[in-house]
Amino acid sequence: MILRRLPRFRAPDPAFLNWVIVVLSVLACALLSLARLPGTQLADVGVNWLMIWVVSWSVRRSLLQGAIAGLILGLLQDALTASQPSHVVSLVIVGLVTALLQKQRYIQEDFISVALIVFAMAVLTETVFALQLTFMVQDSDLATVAAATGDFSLGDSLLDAESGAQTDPGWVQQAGYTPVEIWSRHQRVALSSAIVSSLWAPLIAYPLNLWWEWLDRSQELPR
Amino acid sequence: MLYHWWNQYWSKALLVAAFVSLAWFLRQTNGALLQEVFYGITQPLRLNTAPPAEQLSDARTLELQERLLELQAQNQQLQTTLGEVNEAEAGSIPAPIIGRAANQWWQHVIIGRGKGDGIKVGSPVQAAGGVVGYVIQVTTHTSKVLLISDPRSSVGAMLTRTRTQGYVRGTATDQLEMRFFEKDLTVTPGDVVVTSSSSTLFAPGQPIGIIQSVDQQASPVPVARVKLNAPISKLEWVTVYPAKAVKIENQAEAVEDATAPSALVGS
Repeated sequence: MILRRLPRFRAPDPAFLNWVIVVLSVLACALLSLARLPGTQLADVGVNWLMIWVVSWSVRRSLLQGAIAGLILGLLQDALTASQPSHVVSLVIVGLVTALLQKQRYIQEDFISVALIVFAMAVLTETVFALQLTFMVQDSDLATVAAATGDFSLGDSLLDAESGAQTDPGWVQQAGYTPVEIWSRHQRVALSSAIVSSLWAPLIAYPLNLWWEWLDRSQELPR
Repeated sequence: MLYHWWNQYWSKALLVAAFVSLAWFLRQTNGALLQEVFYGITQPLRLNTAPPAEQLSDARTLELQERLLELQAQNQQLQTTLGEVNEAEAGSIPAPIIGRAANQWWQHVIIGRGKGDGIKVGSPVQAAGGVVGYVIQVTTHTSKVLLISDPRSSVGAMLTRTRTQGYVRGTATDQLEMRFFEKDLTVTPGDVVVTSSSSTLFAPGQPIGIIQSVDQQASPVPVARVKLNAPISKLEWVTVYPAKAVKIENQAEAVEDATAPSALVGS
């Protein structure tokens, strides 16, 4: 190989290449989660690509590394959707739990076991998010957008609230999921997301693991 | 101790800090940069760059459309008599849907038209069948549209038959939940729901859906289920209309209109 013949460049090169691969694969996952490719949807629920990436990363790393990956990708998913409630919580938990599984000790390392972990983590992710929806504010950012643009009352609720107040003040309520809706939707979302994500998990996990294995063997694993 | 740690891990710590701050920046800008990158990458993949021609599904649709045209003409005449100008039709922009929400809970779409095409935050968005949502964020080439089926979205609505005012909220399905302002109603399944005259976002009278069931006993006000006209989960092209731009000082005026809808209609 070329790397062997150029010993001076051998040390920094794979480490740098590793970061390039890491950044590009995260970007690919982020963009894939915006697209709804044919075959990646089950009952209108798409694949959770960023969660698959966090699992692929964390299966062979420490708790701290798993948590950091969850933090960064959680912020990214917030950027792609809405920041309240934040996806950081669920992805950090996924990173920690996956790293805790100590995969190399208990489960054989192949893409079937990665798919199994992804299945469980998808259910965990959606459950944590449903809990957040139940107990936390649901995206007050929409109001911030309205305030920033100034002229609008975004969402029709403000104007209607004033007009309705004179006849019957009882109806005024915060827009967002009601707890009943959250938990009936949670069943469907958790199951569909788990099935579809675990089916597509090898697409991300397999090449990445192959690369990290090669890197592992060729030198000490960069963190 | 700390010094040793720093000597050993400084490059990794800096790298992690850089990644976290980059991700934080993207989050604070609502992923505008990612949306633009997505637009750029998927641009060559979008083969049909023109909106589809008007499709007529069956004779019933045709009949209804003709009836609608007749009513629109009548409506226009009445509005001219009343001195109201309908500005909603001018300057509409057809836009392809290029992406959807990156999680399973929020219902928004990314469309391939943005600031450069004259889209503003608050612009109403419609598709074949009626209202589908409104713009909540714009970048240079893309915009984010909050669908009417998102639980965070609430849009002022009314019944065409009785002019009863209320508002519709999404339930993340193809059904909406409509709450009324009044207690005793004569709502029946089959009633047509359109945007309210007190809506700050939409021109009045844009079709939304049809009442499927009514719960008169719901507290504190009756609740109805509304079936959406537009196929919200299968949208490919939408039309963006210019933002209505209701200024804050105009609200008082609009509120007066809303409180006396029957008087308006009666006159």
